[in-house]
Amino acid sequence: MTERRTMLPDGDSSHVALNATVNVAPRERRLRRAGSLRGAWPVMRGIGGYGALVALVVAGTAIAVGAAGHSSFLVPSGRRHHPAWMAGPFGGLAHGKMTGALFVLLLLAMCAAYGVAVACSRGLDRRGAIAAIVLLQVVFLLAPPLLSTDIFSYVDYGRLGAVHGLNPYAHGASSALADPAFPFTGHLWRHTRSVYGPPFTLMTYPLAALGVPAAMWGLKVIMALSSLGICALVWRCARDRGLDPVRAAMLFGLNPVVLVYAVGGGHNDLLMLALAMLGVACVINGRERGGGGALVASAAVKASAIALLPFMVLGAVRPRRVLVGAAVGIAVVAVIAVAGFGSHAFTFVSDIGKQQTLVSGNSVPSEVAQLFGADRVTTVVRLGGQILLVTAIVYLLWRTKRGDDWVAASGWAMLAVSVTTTWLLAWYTLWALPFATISRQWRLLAATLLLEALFLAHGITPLVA
Amino acid sequence: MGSLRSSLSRIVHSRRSRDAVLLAAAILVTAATVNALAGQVTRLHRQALDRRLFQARVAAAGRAHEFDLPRVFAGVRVDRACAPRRGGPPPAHRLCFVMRTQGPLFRRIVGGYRLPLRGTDVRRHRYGCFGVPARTGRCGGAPPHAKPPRAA
Repeated sequence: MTERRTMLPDGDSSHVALNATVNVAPRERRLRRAGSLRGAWPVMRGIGGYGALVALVVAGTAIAVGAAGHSSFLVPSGRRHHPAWMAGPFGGLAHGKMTGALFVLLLLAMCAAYGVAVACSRGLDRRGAIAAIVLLQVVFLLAPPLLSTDIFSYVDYGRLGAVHGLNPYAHGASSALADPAFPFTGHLWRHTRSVYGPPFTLMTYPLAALGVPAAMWGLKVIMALSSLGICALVWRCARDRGLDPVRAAMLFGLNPVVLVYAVGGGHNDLLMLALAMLGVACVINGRERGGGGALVASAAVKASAIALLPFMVLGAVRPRRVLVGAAVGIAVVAVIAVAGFGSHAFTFVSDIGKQQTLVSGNSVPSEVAQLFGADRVTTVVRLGGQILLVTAIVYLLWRTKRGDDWVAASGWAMLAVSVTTTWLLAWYTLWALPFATISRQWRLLAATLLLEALFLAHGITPLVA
Repeated sequence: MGSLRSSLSRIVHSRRSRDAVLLAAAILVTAATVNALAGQVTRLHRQALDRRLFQARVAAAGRAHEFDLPRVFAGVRVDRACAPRRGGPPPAHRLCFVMRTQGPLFRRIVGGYRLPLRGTDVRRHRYGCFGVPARTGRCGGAPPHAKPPRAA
């Protein structure tokens, strides 16, 4: 009974001894089943992938349409006054009010669908994946400004300069109380001067002069295009590095935090990341000068991107060219800043320092302090975070110098910044994502997605508790 | 010295030690978030209980219709719940109850005070204290003057 199944040289097993079939039959059945499963797997992957894409589009559209309907927590700028221009094209489509529980349900559905879609990315046609990415970006572009008032701060700073003749690096939004953008700005930022790079603020001037609705929608278009630009650059970089470009683009372009918070909220972090990724793509393709210049342009939108420069210098084949590009970029930015804002142009550097003293309840240092019994972020916790950040960056630079992947190290550095800051917002958790999608280190991707998941869990709990 | 340096370098370079550090960081961050979430849920639950206790107290006094939904300020051992009065004779004010909590479910009203409709809840604004706030001298304000009735 223990006789092994003997195959004839031509592979025909029909001549197997009858007494052996007693044992062989179940095994063959198992093998056949495994073979058929193996054959069915691509089909299942395709069905799962397309199903997940459809679910993502449906849940995303439901959030965008629901937010446009009535004034709700989803559009904090419209809590008191929700004008039709802010609701956008979805304004007339919504029936009923979006509740916290429904939003959480839809967001969780988006997260689950995102996971399935990425897992099944190999079963998807690239055109289908691109269509889903573009469609979702457009849906969240057309949604009102979601879960943040920041876009109106950009508009307000632009209007201070373009309409009221005030310097946004010397005055806060409260200097023009009668401005139509002022009621929509966040309470926390009404007395704060601009903390964004001078070229970005200058970029908002022509839009701001067109009126608040045009400026808001104009900025949303720019940020959605930036998001699509990141997807394209991630695709290109992944292909150049021998990774699956479809999966990389899907990891960024279908990410619920990217869609709901960053594109939906119209955050300039997307523009910053698009320029930083342009720099990465330039360096990967041997255009180091362009890479250094693009990275400085990225830091001219939001200063956090400058943390990537040493990694780019250490990782590039011709580091001197990166430095030349960066130096030219810094000179151009300095000239633009001084020409546009005079001696106040660099006050944003000190204001960023002040902003770092703010504490959000869902930042990692705040949660760790709470875990160890402190009711707030103490000086010790803050100092501990800063020491940890410096140690991590020094270690990563050392590893990069010894030949480790500089793109992955850049991602880890951005993640370290997000983890150690006491002022964490949803769109800050994205800073490492484009780097994680084009890195070969699954740990970086896992850590980035874990941070996002924990942030979302913290953010949505009050809505259902 | 050489062997110490080489063993340190081996530890720093080894993938296993890096993974261990990453795993420890992930566990710490996850535990901190779960702890924060639990705290948040407990606080929200506590606020709901405070709100219900406030409403039950004013309903027992037959004045439930006079007050809006109370807003709760959760402290370490003492919570405060304040609700603006909807109508009634002037001056308009907020009624606040001070609640002492013992454990997650038990709470009782140990005193209270009134506040003007607008302004912060600080000692100099509080008036009409009763219970613990009155005994501990937490009242420093006076009732806002009611507007005199307009002459016909």
